[in-house]
Amino acid sequence: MPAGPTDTQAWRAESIGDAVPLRVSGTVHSVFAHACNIETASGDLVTLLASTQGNGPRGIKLAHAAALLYARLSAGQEVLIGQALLRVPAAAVAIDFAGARVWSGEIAAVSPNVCARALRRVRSILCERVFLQGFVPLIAGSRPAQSAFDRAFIERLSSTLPALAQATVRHDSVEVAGIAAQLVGLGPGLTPSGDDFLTGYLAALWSRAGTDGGIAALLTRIDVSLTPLFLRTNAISRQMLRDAVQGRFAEHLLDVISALAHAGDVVHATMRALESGHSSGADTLCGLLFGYAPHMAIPSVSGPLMMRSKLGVGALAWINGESACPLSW
Amino acid sequence: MSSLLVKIVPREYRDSVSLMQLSAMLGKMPGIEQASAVMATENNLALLAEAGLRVDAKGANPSDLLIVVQGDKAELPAAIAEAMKRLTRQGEDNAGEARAALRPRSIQMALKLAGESNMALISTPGDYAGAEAMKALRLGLNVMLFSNNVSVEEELALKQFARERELIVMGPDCGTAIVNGISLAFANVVRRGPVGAIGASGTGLQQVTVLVHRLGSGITQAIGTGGRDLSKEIGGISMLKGLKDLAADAATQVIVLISKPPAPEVAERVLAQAAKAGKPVVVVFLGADAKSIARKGVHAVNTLEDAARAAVAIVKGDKPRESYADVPDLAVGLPKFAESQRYIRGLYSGGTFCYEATLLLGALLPEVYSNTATRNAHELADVWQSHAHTLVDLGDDVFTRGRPHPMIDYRLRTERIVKEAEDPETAVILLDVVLGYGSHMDPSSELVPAIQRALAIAATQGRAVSFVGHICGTASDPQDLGRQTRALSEVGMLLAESNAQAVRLAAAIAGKNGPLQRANTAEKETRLR
Repeated sequence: MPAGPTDTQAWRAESIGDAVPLRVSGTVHSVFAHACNIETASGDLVTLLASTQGNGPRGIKLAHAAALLYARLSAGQEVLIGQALLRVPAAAVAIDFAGARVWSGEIAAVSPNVCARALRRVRSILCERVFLQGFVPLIAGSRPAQSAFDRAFIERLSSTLPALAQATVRHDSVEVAGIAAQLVGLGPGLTPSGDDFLTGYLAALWSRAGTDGGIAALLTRIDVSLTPLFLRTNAISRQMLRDAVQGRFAEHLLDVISALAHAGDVVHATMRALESGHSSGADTLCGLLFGYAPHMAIPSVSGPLMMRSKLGVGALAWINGESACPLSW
Repeated sequence: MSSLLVKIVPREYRDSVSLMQLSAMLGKMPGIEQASAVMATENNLALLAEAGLRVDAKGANPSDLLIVVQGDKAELPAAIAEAMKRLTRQGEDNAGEARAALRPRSIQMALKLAGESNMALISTPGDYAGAEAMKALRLGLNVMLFSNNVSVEEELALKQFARERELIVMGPDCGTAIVNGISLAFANVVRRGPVGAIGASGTGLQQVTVLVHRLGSGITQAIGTGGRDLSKEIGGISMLKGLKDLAADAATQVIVLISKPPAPEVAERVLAQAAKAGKPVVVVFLGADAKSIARKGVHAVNTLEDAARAAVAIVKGDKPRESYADVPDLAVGLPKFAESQRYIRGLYSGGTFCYEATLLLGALLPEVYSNTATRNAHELADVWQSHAHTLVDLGDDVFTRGRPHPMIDYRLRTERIVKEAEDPETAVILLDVVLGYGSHMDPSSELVPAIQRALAIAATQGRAVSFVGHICGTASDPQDLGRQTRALSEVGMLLAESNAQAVRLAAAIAGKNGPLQRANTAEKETRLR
């Protein structure tokens, strides 16, 4: 039975992403322990974020801990946004964002030449952490392929990643889109690893665009080719990729880029970014490193580890920094 | 014949960790060869096809969850049913998780919730660990610093700060402690009793505390110091503090000190304080000369087992022996080795077990190689490839980069077991099995299939391989010591009481093959006793 108005509990939002529509209706799409997605009538997702989470372009971040809020929400409930209020009548929930700060994620310009040491630090953190799924452990060989699915996954990466690097060097948007088609929706996770990787990769390109005309032109052309591909993944990933192609990213990822650009605390920023999902953060950072310099994308591993992962593919030796990097900086 | 069953769950959004746990759980069910729980995207369906899993997923869309199980046809429906049950339960759990999200997020917050606490256990990436430890010390808390990658300078600063305030820093890289009867991190469940232990080695502490328990006695406190504490730079600050506290502790009747050989000046300081402790102190500095240590007024021994036995003997009012080296019992059905089978291959998860084994085996047999440097062994050139008698510490950084420690994750070891069995020179495979909190919850479930496979491979080549090892655990540990022992014994693994005994047993078995080695063994065993 829907709760009456007197039962409605209100929470206050601390900040609101600049891409959140201020007047729209929708439904609760999916609910997790620290986030709830709302699908608007136009098909976009708005995310209600716990106070512990980072901001996002379409996020409404709560001001205080609200553990019980998410327990009230369930998929399909009607949501109304308007007059600086988000309401879920069936759950007797209201979020007041009248006093919320508008969050606009700015992407810092990165020169990988300048921050090579910091990039290596990010790489070493990825190396130190234990990931049981996603791109990082399979490519690094720290988790040998355990199933035919894993082996097929590795084969796919070994054929696509070197080609993606080459296409990026050539600023070839058609080729980049062709390879991205093989990565969209690929792999484990709520946001499949391929989607996370592409998000990180696009973030790197956006942060390079200010100083690299070729990359800027590539980003302009790529939008048209990439966007249709995003229908091949689920709604949550799709929104993340649509935003990424427009240069909009989550706060934690922007913080890493900012730390790289301005000699900030890259360790802290990286650790925060890794808190996303089990391997989503790692896959995103892997994509970010790849976008800057593919030879740094994957932790350097010793020969035997490479052999143990049964990759045996020259392209991956290159990814591991064991042969010359095709990108020149 | 392997079959396939697919379940499409429409619009099912689960976080990545839940999906990973679901795949892993399904993969371990009886009769299941492969299992995947992934979003039903075009690329994932293509990847499944490339993996040989041709899935009919007509009508599926990328927002659906695809559960695929492959294996024994009769078992597949049960696996899918279990998956659906888990998904339903996870949905209920999510609400619970949301309620539990109000956990303290800082040491200060935790202290407000539990004001009587006097210790903080810190496990964060090394870059943050020092700062968190300092926060805890400033709040008047003792610290167990599980994290590694803390610099020597930071460690020294923390320990000096702690010393000035009569506090202790256990660590960094302190993996084992038992405080007031509570096992912390990688530690076994042992009864409380009159023996106090201080160790710079995690598995060293585990071996001593387990054996003290098995010998009928118990532990007051087991204090870890971190592996660098007895270096010249740190000066043994934590061991000296632990020694002082245990000396003042009325419940502690005997103190055991465990370490690799300290820096000489640190050893002098520690032994001088030990001699003045006012109660017996047993010292095992693995690899150091026990006789010269004994001259400092303590009881010095060579092995972890001897340390435990000496401590318990003292508690019972008996005179401790210099050595308790038992003669291996070879009245067991030993396999008949082929001419080529001459060597022991030790695959260790415990670093100190490997170190102790290298010392012991190097004294018994020639041609001992290891990635753990001791005076008795040669350095192994390629850690992935055994050579002659080889003892490998699989917990070394080169093996653990990007994967859990081998006490948790047995995959690297089970792969290596099979590889060693394929080598016609392998006669004995020597293993340690560490139970207790933190360790793998069912080691035999990993080792038994690997041992069976190894034996089968050797058999097809007309050989037999001996498996020798010891289980470092107690009947109170969560893994069920009895069940682990039965499972490993049933596949023919010879289980010794301790690491030292397992090494001697392995040496005796391998020594029976070939006249030269037999002669060496006899000579060196005599000398050891």
